Amino acid sequence: MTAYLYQYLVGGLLFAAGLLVAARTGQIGLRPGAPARRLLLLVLGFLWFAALQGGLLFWGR
Amino acid sequence: MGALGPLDAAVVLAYFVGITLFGASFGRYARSTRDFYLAGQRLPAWLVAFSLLATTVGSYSFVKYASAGYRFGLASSQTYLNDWFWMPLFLFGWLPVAYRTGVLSVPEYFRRRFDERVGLAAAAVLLLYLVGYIGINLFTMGRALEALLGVGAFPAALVVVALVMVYETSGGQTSVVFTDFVQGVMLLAGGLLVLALGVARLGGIGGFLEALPPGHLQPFPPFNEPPDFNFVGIFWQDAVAGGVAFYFVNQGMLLRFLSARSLAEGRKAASVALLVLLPLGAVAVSGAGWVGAALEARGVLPGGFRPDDAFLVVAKFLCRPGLLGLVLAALLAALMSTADSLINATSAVLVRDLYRPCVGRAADERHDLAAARIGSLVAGVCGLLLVPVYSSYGTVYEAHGAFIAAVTPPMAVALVLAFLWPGFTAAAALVTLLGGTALMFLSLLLPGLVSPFAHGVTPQGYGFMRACYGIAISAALGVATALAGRSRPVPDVERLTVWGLRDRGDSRDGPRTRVRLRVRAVRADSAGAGVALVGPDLEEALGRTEGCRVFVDDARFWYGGLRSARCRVARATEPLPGGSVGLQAEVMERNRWRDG
Repeated sequence: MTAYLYQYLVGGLLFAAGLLVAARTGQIGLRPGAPARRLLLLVLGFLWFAALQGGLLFWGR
Repeated sequence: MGALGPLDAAVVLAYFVGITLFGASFGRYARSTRDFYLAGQRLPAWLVAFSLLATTVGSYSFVKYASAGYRFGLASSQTYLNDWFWMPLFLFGWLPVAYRTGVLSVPEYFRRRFDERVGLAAAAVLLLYLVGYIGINLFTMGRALEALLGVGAFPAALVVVALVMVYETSGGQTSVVFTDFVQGVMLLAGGLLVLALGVARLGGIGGFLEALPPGHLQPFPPFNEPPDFNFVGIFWQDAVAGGVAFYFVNQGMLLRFLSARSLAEGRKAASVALLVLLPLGAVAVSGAGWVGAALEARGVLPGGFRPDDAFLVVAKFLCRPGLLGLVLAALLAALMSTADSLINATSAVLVRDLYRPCVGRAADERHDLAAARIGSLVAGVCGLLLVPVYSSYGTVYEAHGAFIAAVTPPMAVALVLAFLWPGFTAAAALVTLLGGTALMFLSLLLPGLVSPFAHGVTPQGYGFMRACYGIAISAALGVATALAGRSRPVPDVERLTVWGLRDRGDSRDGPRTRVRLRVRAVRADSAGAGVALVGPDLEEALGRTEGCRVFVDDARFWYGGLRSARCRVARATEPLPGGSVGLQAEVMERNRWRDG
């Protein structure tokens, strides 16, 4: 569990910093269209790996 | 043929001959250095995505991850599942900056962003990384062939490099990408086949899961032990330092993304590769180790072999004659697909970042293309010469880890600061690159320097934790130098950073419209080679005005963009049939398009 939390906290900081840069340059955002689609893809990708490894962690105990 | 039966040997031989001829058949597409390094920038996302997979999975992957899978189970997949953290910064930071500035390499970016000195320093560090990477791939492949065929590691590597050279020097990036597609499919199929055979031998998925030793279903190894495979070491070495080095700095990956027909296709390729293909790749390269541990626990497979031999031992145990040849061909495919990319990439750095600036002569396409091919030969030979060096350096995993951890953090930090921070100066970049690399090598002599960053990992594991030390120390050097020195105003420096994307958006492309049309040949005096003539109907459908860019591509997807032309729109002066575009006869002939 420590490894999971460490990875998604430290990795999450890197991820959030990237999101911030992309948002500040207008490439992602909440307005409809390409920016929102890109944001959705990035967040879903993050959740996909978090769920996959979290699931394995829970199921593999 | 050593330990291989005649049928398996025939399959391997057929693979060698087939892939070499297939790759060499793309020779006519390399007419310029831009073709040689960027495949004409016309590749679709699916082809780039498979190529990314094939480049990521080297032959060392089968040895390294099957070994880790055999010892630690599913935790061996950690490396392949932790790259997404960098994607926002890569897809919406570095990638659009590279597209927009039109650079072909990181040293070229540094030359434009800073000056010649920084470009040269970056070229030197990058060459260390690339040539070392080629050597590691050849070394692991040589060891695998040594175990299977009974031939020496060096002669085996020599034969494979010679075959790679035949097609890589012929078609450049086009050959690399198309052979990568075949090799990507093969390595997935080979790895998954071994896993499937093992699972079947254990009575299905239920039997496989039951037979796994305790703890083998965990996705992470223990936090900071054992020293040669622990979570925090892999995280800093692979996810943080390795991730930025591989996607941002690795010349092979950069050229691959720039070979896509547009920025959007490059992003699509990266997303598909990371979200779908790499997790599949993790299963393919680790599977032999997982089933090996399960088979041994059941008493079906005799134990006592070295973990590094897990892939070959398990493959030999499970595969019938013929199938073993296919699996070995998959291993060779993994090696060749990584080696060809790295050789092409190293050639780009040698020629564009060292040779051209030093020679300083005017551009001559024929001369440059010849230099590109010679550069590939030099890269291959240098990698080959490293094989005996790696032979005397511990286990494969340690060799790879120590190298990545020692060389890449300074370059990675310098690049990220360069495209994110307009105040990052040339002096700061130089100090980061040279000072950071020097401090990395100093930590090899004085391992105690790593201990504040070790997270409780014992000194035997500092090879991995050196990445954390390297990132921290390089970032501190770079930031301190930039803040301490007076920033020389560089005209338009913001344009070369991610903040330059604010004004123009992230893409060179305007709104995209797809139209299905027929092609017509027109007289040479009606249109130049880069002009597409359209009638009023198409002009309306495209919603574009004269002078806008269009990408005319064959509708048959399996050509992978090879039959395509990048043109500017012009209004036809003579009537064209409805739904047609007029192209110069030479363009039609080159793409083998028939009139109408």
